Amino acid sequence: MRVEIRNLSFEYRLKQALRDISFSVAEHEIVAVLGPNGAGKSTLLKCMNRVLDLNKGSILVGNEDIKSLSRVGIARRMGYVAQRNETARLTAFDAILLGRHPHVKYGISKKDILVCNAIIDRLHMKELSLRYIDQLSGGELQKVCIARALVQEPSVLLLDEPTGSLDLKNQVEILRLIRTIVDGHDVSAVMSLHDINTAIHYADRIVFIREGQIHAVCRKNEITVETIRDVYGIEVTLHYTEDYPVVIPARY
Amino acid sequence: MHIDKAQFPAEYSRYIKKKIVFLTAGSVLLLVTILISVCLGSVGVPVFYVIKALFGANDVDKWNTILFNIRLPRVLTAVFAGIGLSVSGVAMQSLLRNPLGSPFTLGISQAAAFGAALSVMLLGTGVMRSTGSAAVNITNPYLTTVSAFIFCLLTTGVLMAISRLKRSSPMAMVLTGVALGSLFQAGTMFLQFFADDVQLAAMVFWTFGDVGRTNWNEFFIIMATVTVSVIFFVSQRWKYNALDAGSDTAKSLGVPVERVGIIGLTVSSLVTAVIISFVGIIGFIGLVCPHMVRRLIGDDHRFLIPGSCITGGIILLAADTLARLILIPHVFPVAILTSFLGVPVFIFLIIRGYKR
Repeated sequence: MRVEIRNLSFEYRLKQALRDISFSVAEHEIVAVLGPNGAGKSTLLKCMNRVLDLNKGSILVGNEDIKSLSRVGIARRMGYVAQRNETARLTAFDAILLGRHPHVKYGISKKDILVCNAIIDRLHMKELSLRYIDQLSGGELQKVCIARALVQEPSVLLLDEPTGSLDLKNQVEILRLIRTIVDGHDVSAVMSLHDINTAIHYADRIVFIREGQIHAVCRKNEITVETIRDVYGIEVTLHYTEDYPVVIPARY
Repeated sequence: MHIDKAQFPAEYSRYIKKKIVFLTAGSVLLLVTILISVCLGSVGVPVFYVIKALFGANDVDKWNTILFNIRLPRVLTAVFAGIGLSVSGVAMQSLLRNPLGSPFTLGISQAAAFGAALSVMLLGTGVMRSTGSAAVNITNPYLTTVSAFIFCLLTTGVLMAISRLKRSSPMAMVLTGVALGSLFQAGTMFLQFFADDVQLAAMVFWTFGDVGRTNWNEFFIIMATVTVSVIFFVSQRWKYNALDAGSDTAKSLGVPVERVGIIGLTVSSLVTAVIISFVGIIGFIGLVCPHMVRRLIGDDHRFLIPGSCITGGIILLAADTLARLILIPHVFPVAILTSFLGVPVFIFLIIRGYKR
């Protein structure tokens, strides 16, 4: 589903975190949000589904302003994976089942369990589905949280560093799955990432944020050495394979 | 998203079934404990007579008096007080995101003690008498209860006001509760310092939690409050599970985190206030029972809440029955035993390094 962010501003008690952010995400599109630590990537994602209440600006999901939606209404449209996840003595299956909460009225139905089971199969998590999540590794827990967002059946996925603690195989698997879901359904995704090459490889467009403001929005073949220097303050070289660049930082 | 292979996970069903078996076994154990407790005491009543009497065939007057006027209200009060304290402990632990959450953490117990002491001191509701089991009687139990209850509510109110005013974190609420608790404790000590012997005895006696203080009417008040609150907490089970995943995630799942927290804490404070006002301070049930159940069946609130209710009922009742039996014909206040029971379990939890 199309998402449009218009003039979004947000401030924490003392610090202006985001200033005048505007961009849009089309259907079937993955937008990666990149920027240095503390630039406001996580804050931006949290503002998008009103985990944080924005001060100024508006966010449209489809044609609806999220301010006019209830929390459950937002949860039915937008799935969110936090950067840090807390654990409890809950089985992975039940933790994933939580993603059905926005759709559940009185109690979980057979359909909820089936959706949950299908996603678990899809992510090859069958062996860990009955283990307690406080005994999972960081990467396994992250997969559980992504699975939870997927069973929510959202139209928009908001992922805060979804591959932060995953090994290469799981990174590729998760990002491929997100790509498949976005391509095959009326879903769009916004994810914050640290690895610029991962972003170039899987995302359609990249939003560079610096000090709470958008520095540049570019397609993958529009990235320049200057953009990266301005955002991160480092020198890189770009090497082209097929039609998009691979970014390699200068060694000295 | 498609459900590619629509098949019901058999292992998950088995897992759920195991939990249900555990809860059923617990309920049966609770019923058995109730039956045994009713029979035991300074005058034994045969089990078969109790069962007959409960179905209306009661023909021995002496036993009837013991059963219906003394034992049953006491036993049932113990069960429901245990359920209420335990379930509010679960809720506080979840909502405050703190494994130490219990009526003591929020200063509610201390407030009740202060309220009772105040009524003894100012309204003169405590008088020495030397009759049977209780050397000190509270002449006007209702006044003492009401006063204790008012101070519980006051504490709850202050906590709610602060959390709403500053939109504070659970951590701030715990700290406020601890601070209020020590304030009321100081207040109680202040009153005790100026009290005469009889008043002091009455104040101290009140703080010894004892489930034998209630008559049928008071029991029904406790039962109604506890039942309503258990239904409420069960209805919140998924929300509490979501809170365990962190407040950002919970919000993204459509849970209004602040509202759920404030309402849940208010309900659990109210239940605690009602129970403590009628039976005095009973420690550790609210803290220990939930942790025992967490260890046994995990943190899933679908099972944790009913599990804690059952365990709370069993443990308080068992402790009270023991308290009635160890010094026959004297009745030992149950609160002393629950702490003896609570501390070792608690230390065990610390040594095990239980992580919530």
